Amino acid sequence: MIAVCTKPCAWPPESLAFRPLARLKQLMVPATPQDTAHIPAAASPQTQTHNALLAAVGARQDRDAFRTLFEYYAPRLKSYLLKNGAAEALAEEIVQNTFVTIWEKAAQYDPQKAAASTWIFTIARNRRIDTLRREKYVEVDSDNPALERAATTDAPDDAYADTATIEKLRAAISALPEEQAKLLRMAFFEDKTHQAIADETRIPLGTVKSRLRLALEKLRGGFTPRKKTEESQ
Amino acid sequence: MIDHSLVEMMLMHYAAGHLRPTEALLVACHVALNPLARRKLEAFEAMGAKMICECPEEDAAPVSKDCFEKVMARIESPAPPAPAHIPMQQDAAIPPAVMKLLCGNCTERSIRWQKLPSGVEAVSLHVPAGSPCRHRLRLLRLSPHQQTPAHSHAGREVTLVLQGGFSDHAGSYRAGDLIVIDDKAFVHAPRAGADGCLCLMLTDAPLLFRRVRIWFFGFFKRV
Repeated sequence: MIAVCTKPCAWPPESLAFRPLARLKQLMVPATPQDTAHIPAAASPQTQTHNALLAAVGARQDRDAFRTLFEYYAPRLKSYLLKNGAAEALAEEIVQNTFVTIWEKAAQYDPQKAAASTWIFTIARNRRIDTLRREKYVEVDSDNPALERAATTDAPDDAYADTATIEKLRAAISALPEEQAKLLRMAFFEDKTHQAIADETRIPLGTVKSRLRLALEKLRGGFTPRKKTEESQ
Repeated sequence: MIDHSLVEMMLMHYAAGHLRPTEALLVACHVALNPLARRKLEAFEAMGAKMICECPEEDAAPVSKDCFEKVMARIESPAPPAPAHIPMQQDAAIPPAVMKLLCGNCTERSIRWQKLPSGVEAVSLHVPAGSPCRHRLRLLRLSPHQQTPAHSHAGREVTLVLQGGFSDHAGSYRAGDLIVIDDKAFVHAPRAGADGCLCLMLTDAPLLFRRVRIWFFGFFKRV
């Protein structure tokens, strides 16, 4: 993709620029808390527990682990489904379908690639659409040789969103002005069209669109590619 | 130039599960071909997951008491066999999800391309159920350096480059790029690159060709 470079000079990044003296200084001075501030904290204990539980379900069909995950996620997923307009009985059906699929696919789960919560969310999203529309949501084909070809040529080692990317995105979302953040939440979480958002908030449709566009432009900072190859795509 | 906001908007709506099947198909293929798009999508999915995990305890909707037992009962009972996963062939350019929408048991070589009045080769795809009836899905093929006549768009046009590439006055695009045009005033005359171009295109209104002759013949010869 052709990423528009907004910074005057994004390449080479500070870390790779040839500045031998500065580099030497860095090596000699022990890291201070400020230096490490940009490194995101390790995944929260809750995330790690859930990842381990889901991996246990996948590895040895651990029923207790499955039950623990069910008790945590089922009410939350149901609340999400109800907010998205599913009726009580339908929400329950989707929750059941989701957990049957989680059980069946758990062996494919890889904690290195995604957090358990994200993995469960995508399954719930797909099952919601399958159940509502009686049709299959087109899923991303993860073993596409074309992707492998692309990944080996010009992608970072981790094709998956890593913790740093998500942390950055989260920071970018919390830094959004309230008027933009609100519209983004409505568009993302409540399945509302731009027209429905405009009607509900009594903001003109054009303004809704331009505010969402501004919000996404700010979030783009969270996806800043690390390699030049991606920058020039 | 690619309008990144429009592409990200589509990724965001895909992550949230709002897209119609036709749009979801294009986004899924885009993500399968483009590692950066995949990272963006996964970040949006993580955003959705975070929202669910942050749901306060009192907002969580309790499920019925026998819900877990029902799930376990369904797991115990023999499940219907899952549909076979069709892996993409090493040298294939068209994703299996798209091949399924072609008429008959076509292979990539046996596609019956139809020459459009504009000189572009095209083949129409079945529009999956549940999509708005005005959506049209087509595969388009241009030979190397072939130029299409200048046209504007009566509606939104979403194009995914599957192989090769093309360029217009606004920029150049290569395999894996998704181009969303949602501007009725935008006129362009795309030109294929040195390797030709194969793309998947979703439109919800006809293209408006500048030259009357093409428009006239095109009217009688719709694919």
